[in-house]
Amino acid sequence: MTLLEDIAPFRTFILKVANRCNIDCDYCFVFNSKDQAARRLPARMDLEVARATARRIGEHVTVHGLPDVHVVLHGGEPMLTGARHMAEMLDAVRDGIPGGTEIRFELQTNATLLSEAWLDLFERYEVAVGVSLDGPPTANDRHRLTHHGRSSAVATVRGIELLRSRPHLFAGLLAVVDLANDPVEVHDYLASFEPPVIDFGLPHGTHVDPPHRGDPSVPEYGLWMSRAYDAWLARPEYQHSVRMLEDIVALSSGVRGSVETLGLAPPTSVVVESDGTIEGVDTLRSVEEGASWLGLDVFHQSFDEALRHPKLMHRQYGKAALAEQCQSCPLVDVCGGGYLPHRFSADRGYRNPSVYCADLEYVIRHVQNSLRQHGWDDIYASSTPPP
Amino acid sequence: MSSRTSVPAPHAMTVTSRESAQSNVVLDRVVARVRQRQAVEQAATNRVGDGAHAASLIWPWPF
Repeated sequence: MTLLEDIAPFRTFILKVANRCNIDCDYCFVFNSKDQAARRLPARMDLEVARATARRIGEHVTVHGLPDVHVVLHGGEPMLTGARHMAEMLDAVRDGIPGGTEIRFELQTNATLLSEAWLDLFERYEVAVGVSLDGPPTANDRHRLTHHGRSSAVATVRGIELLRSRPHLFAGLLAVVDLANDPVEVHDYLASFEPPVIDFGLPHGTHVDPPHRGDPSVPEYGLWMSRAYDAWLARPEYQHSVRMLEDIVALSSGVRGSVETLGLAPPTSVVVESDGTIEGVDTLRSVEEGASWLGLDVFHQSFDEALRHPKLMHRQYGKAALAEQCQSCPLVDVCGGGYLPHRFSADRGYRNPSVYCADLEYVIRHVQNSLRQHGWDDIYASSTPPP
Repeated sequence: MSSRTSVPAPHAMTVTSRESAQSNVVLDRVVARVRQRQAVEQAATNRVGDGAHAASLIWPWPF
């Protein structure tokens, strides 16, 4: 049995402060996925839930001696809570966490509701703001439309431009990959907003409901990401990082990844729903109804109880939790077997290679080859399979 | 102090040297950041860097 002291404590707390959205992205894992729980949850987190969550975070900080925590305000669209309510929730979180603990606030938004008043609030509470945008308007509008089927691109770009007036609050841009979009055009467009970070997410899919491909024999998503990598390297005038690609470099050199989608280190994030229920990986909603449900809530259970929940223990097992072919793969330390939801099948649960296995292999080798080409060949050599 | 949970260290090799090759400014920056990450990781007295949520962008720990 794994002892609690052997388990990495939670460091990132994702608060679903709003469970509605003012746009209707067709790939959204919250509203347009297998699990429809979000539609039954309160539209926004009330203060009692925020206070109870903060008390539990404070308890976790004390038990584990954490010097800092990362609190992410998430939705739905978090700004639908209204600015006054958001400020009250931020106060509640601050008040519940022991003084001296650094709290790093972040908010992920579609930016369509952003205003100077919101930015003043974020300034006051030091909230970094990340924006979701899939690329130029034609690319973005493939999926990110309003409830009336209209483009959301203009409103999002207006929000980003406003955010750029306070660059210290700008956390970066998140884009979901669509093979129909040109990776160079998407990368260069996103880079033109000068975000500190761009990250590309692969659309959620499982072995039951695999991602769309034009030609299943070709690692199209790996090719797409590799072209985005080349575009990144071709634009030295921009300073941003592309997180997934930088993480491939880091993991290839034995440095831990920074996000749960790659690598073998146990993720240390936990989700609190608008009614106070605790979830491990909310993106598991893309897998099946109830996949993310733990049966815990902040009113009755501590985060330590969530750490020990059987559905989350696999996080601690590293390579041993993966499919056999993953365990013996020379790239496993970099890909980590792929993102958990992407491994799911009905008969074997999560003990499968990712539905993006060939894509991950392609882009990892592409990055490693590039490292070799540019003189950082010690990294490349370390992940090359024996002849 | 090393981390309390055993995390595989896949490669003994680190980003420490480069031979003469075609330089790339962006990649050089990336390697410098990765070195920084490595230094933070080695200096940390508690666990850092264990995968933040996919829908969050800032470093979950001071960096």
